[in-house]
Amino acid sequence: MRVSRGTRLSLRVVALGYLFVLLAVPIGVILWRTFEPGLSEFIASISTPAARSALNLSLLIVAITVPVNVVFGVATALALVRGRFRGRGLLQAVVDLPFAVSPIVVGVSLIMLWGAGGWFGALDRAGFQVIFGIPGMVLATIFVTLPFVVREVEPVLHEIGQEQEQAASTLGANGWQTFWRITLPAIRWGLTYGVVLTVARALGEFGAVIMVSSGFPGVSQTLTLLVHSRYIDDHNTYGAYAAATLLMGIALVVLLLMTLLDRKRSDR
Amino acid sequence: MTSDTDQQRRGPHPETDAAPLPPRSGATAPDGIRPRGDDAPHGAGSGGAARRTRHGKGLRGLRRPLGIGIVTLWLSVIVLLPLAALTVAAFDEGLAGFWEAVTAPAALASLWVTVLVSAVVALINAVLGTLVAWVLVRDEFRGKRFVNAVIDLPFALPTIVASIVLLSLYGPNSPIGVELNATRWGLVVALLFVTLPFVVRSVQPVLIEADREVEEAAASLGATTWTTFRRIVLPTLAPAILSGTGLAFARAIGEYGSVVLIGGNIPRETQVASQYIQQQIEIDRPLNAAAVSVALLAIAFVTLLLLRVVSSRSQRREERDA
Repeated sequence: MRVSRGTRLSLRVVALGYLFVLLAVPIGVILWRTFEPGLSEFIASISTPAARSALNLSLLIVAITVPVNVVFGVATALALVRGRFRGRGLLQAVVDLPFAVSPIVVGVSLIMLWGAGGWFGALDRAGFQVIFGIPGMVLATIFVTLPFVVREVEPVLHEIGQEQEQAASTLGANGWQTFWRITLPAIRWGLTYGVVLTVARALGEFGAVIMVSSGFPGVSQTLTLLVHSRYIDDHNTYGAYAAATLLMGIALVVLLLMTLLDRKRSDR
Repeated sequence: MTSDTDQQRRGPHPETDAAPLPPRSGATAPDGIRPRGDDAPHGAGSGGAARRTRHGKGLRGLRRPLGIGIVTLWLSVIVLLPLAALTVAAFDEGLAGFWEAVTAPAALASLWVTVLVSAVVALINAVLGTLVAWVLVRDEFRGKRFVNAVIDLPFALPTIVASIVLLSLYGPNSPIGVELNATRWGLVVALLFVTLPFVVRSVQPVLIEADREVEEAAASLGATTWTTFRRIVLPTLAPAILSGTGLAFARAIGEYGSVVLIGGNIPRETQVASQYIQQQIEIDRPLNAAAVSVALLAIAFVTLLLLRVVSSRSQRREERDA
């Protein structure tokens, strides 16, 4: 399609203007408001005891979610790609379900299952508190991040096929050896990409986590909950901006990693 | 089951389902995979019984009932059981109870606001997302690569940060004098922010692949730019625009974090379904919360199902034309 210079320029102006108003200006304003009172103010605001414990809790949730998702995600991807069994299509659909479910609905579902009045309410009454405790927040995070590892590893498994694995077993390697030496090195970039997406979402999840958290500052607040409670409960607008800027910094690192890994994956 | 039958049952790969993934991750969809028939070398074919039992562990285990059982159990506990418990809770007082909870004026209003705002957001996305994709593919300017990378920012940014970011510009004490908080336009802006990548990222690859010779042929036959766009470019892009728009809509109706601060949560005005659900849990009305949750899920599923039907139909048409 040949477009006159005028049209092309005006389309460019509209597109860039839209992105500018929607993305650039708001982010610029929040950065300005965060750093306007000085860097020391920002550091003081993100190193209060509540902020430290929020960061720790967020990292703890990531530290539990990532290994669990890696183990079960790779297992699920292997079963979906290499397994031939009935109900596989159904399993495929279940893996995609978390993308279609609203975070709030995830929270409500977990309450209906694990809450005091839920199906597994006996657990709660026996003193093992899932909802309004860390286990509930971990379960919520695993729910929303479940598809990432599976969906990033699956295409790679399809692509590499099975010839090398079969060659390895012909040469006498057992299942674990084959997995560690052949399969895992082959899927490593896909797996890493899946882990990066998982970390980003686990740190940033808000809706599902707020539903199952008791939200006490210093005890059961993640970074995202801290942003919310500082703004809503404490009317500490600056603190909310500072915590949001911290999260934004983490997101930028993630974005950078995503771009680099994406290039690495396509080089393969 | 011996490993030999295992090998024989390994046929060509059936197609993976089209995943409602963000387009970026979906870009690695396994196209052009060679079907792997039974003529593949049989690894353990000549091995003895001892080797076969060793293969029962690890990799092979995942093709066996035990491995599949573990995976199924995992997915059930994490995903299926909670959703089942939710559905049962929604129908705790029968169909009538469910209906009453969903059609309560406040619930109905929140669902209406959600669908209305999401539809507006989807439409704006369809137009401006396509435009942005076009500029990123067909135009050349300095800093294009940077702009291209920035498109993914809303996917990487936590939703609550999106909310705060927009509030700092369009909220109280807005530095530009535009106060959108607690209005429906505030909701629209928040949702436009978080759904920006969907249409752009699904249209971009199609536009890169599009055959420009056809467009030039149309132009040399005297078609105006507008006619070429309407008759040649738009039909090529339509499936991608539609799928991006559908995913954006599905995301928008369930969104919570990005609208919670800017929306204002005014019943019948700016309260969206997810906020209504959260409120019902807080005032201890689990039935209402579960019922509206099920309604929201149903809307999302119908959207994604329609999307899949339309995309498979257009794919079939393409194959027939080819």
